[in-house]
Amino acid sequence: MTQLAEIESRLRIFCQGISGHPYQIHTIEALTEPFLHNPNRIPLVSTFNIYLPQSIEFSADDSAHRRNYHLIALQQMGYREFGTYRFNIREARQRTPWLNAIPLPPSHRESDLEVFYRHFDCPTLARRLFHLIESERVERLLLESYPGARRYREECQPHINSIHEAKRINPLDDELLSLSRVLRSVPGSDSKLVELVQPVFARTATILDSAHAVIACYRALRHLVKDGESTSSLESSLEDETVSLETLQRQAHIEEVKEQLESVDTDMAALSLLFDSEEGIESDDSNDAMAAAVAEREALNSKRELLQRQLDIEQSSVGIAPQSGSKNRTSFRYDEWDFHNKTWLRNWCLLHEIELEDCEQTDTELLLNAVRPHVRSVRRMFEQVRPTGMKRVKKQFEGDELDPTAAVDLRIDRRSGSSLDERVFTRRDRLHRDVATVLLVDLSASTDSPIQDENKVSQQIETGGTKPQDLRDPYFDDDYLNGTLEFKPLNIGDDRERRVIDVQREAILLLAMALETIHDMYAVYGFSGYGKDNVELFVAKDFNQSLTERRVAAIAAMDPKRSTRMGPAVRHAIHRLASTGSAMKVLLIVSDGFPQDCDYGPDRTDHEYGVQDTAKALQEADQKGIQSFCVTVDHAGHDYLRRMCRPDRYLVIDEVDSLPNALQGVYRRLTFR
Amino acid sequence: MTNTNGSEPFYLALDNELEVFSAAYESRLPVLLKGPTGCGKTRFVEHMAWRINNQRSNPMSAKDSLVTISCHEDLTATDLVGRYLLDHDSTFWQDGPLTRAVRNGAICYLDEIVEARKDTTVLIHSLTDHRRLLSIDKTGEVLEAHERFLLVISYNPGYQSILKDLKPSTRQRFVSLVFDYPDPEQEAIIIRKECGIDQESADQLAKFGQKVRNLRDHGFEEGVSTRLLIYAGELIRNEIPARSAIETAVVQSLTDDPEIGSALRSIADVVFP
Repeated sequence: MTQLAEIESRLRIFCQGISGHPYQIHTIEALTEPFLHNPNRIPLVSTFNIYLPQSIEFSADDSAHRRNYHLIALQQMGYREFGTYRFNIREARQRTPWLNAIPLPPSHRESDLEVFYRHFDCPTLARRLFHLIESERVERLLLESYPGARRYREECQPHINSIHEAKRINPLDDELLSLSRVLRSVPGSDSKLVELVQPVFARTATILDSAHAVIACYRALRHLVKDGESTSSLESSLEDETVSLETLQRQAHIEEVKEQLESVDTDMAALSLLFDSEEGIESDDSNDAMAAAVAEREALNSKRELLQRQLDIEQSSVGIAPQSGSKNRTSFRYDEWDFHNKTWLRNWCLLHEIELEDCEQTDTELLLNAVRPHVRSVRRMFEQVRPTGMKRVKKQFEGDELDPTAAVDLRIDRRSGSSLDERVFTRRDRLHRDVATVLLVDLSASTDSPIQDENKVSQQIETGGTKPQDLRDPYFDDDYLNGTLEFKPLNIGDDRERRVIDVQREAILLLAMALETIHDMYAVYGFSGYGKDNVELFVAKDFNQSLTERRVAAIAAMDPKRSTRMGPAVRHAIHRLASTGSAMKVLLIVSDGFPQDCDYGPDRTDHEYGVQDTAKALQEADQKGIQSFCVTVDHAGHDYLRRMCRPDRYLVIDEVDSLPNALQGVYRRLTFR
Repeated sequence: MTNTNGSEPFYLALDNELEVFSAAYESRLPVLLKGPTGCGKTRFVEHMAWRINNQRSNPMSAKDSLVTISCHEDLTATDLVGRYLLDHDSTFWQDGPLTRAVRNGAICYLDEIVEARKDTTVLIHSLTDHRRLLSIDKTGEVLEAHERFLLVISYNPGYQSILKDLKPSTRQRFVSLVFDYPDPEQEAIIIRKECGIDQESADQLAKFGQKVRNLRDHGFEEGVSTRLLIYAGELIRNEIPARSAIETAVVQSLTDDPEIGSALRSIADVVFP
């Protein structure tokens, strides 16, 4: 016996290779469970799903089982490749007089296939026939297109024969079984319906040919259906179907609508570029062009709204929660470590990368005022350690100048018959730091909390004092540099309570300014989200962007959002860091609590699941040569951080206001060696 | 690596790149080729160099008509221009490949230009505008490019890091031709032509290549190159079974990851009969 779990990850890669889409693999049981009304068990996280048996056992050879898994996966992808999901009831009616003669049945959020079945007195029989005939059409095309799969098919023929043993049930089921036996190539089988199905065997057969064959077979069998008699056996035989084509068609339709939405978004983005470039230009031509562009924009807007509504309806029908749309959204899938079952949940989390822009509520000036007094000292501190200039490297095989000493030595060696050192060139090499850093900031709702001990701090400000340095922290005892920065909590004149997020923003902006000084490459990301399909990663500043006013405004716009699903955010940061190609890669995580989310573990109170997933993600960072470091302002941080990362890779800050100092200290420790 | 046997290097045009390159050459406009590894950029330049050279009344040898330089991170301006070398009792100046091409009127192809050090891109600036000059600091010579000289550079936006992007000041000196892997039908023609296998095997190799490129986000950003598929075709022509040829020429060349390797084998297993 072979379990699906044993080959699931290989199958996933195989499916992506064959189809070009990342598929999720589920067990068939997931389809039969009442998932629609139980959001915690929804398997339909994406529209590319494959449903396979939990285990397969029909031979003593496990490799045959593995091949059979591949064959079933191919068959399900075949429905997409060979157009089953493109079945369109309106087109079918136009091209089939028999269908067109019947009034279009009323439908409410049903797939086109289901509407097709409802053209018949006995929709269950039509559905049964359609599954039989269409799967045969797809399998024939599949084996034509993937000739190697014929061996897989032949291998499981004895098993197919055994489950298609002839038996007498009732006249209708007998006919269906006979047809199934013929279509599945069971020896000694025959059916009077074969002639009617023949057009489906052609290489050029389409889904419409299958529909026509269904109609022909149905008409041939209709007389065998006695109201209320055979339907129950038909229903029970349908339960044997490995996968519901109707559900898969709905999922495929969602994908189509999404693609159309993306195309509309692209058109809208192109139009907005036109608006930008035409701004300020006054001429008759440009006025005409602008009027046309405005009309086009309105048309696109209404099309977009329509598509979005359609998408929401379709998604709610198959149990996918609608997500708020955003134009600046790119999505990525990441695995998650299921600590309890010790297994990887492949492609489990959907992370949306969203570019942060300033909004009206953003008070950039307030943030700048808060950091301004410290900028000069921070910059000076980092400038002291910045490598500058060029260095001439001697003893090179190739270079731009001859090294006279080495050249003379070479002459001497040659004359004396010694072994020759031919490295006689010098070369100018630039001294530079090759560091890329991601500053990953927790934007969970809890960062909205006011900082404790606020009164005490305010009192200190009033008396002109500064907050005492935390000498217990080893990272502050930094004799590498002369003196440390004294960070004074500010926001003087602002009546609002100072929150954790305020200090996080100030600390990040100060560090960003310091990194600008030493020309290190860095990105500032915030993360939050709600649920595994809605992990949000907000890009305040990316690697290729400069720290302009707009980027500062984006940092100022980093606001408390929702939950803390840290694992996927860390994995995305790893992905981004890896693409920089820098020699040294650093991931600095600033957080205010343990990882948690509504479905981060079997239940919301299960903190260990999130901790262990994040720990795995940090291990992945280590394996990829990325130095990670967690800084938390959560007093209870020691409890879980020691399980999440190495003892020398985290820091718990007792006083939130010391965060800017802490970040700079940590950064210097990590990168100046 | 240049074509030295004098026969026309095979190249299947995928779009209007032959016409565009010829037109650019007529006006001596420098050309930038963008595209993934092994998609045929170098072969295209070889083909064009051969065509242009053979249309002349007094063609150069195929070897001299094209100078190809594969750039790497230690390649400096000195390597391109030339340097003083030691003789028995003196030094002497040795032209670098770029200087040779400028002097003799060859097409100079700098492959993967962004890999080279930054000083090389500055060096080529004066060759890519109306001046067409190469300034050799060490000798004080300012060399005017031969009227047949053309500079062609290539780079691969796919795998190079954002740090190694071409500067706009360099980019905007070139007309750009974008390359990508051919679609399966065209790729099958190329494979068949290059290795002389039957149409069916060529179709299957091209189909396999297309499937493997679907896995670009599994550690091999660029997918499989046409070059590797041609290698597999060569092995098949020499009577190595298709699956062994794929294993040797593609799977082992692309990945060391057992899971990805196994998935690639499964794909080959269903694509080949």
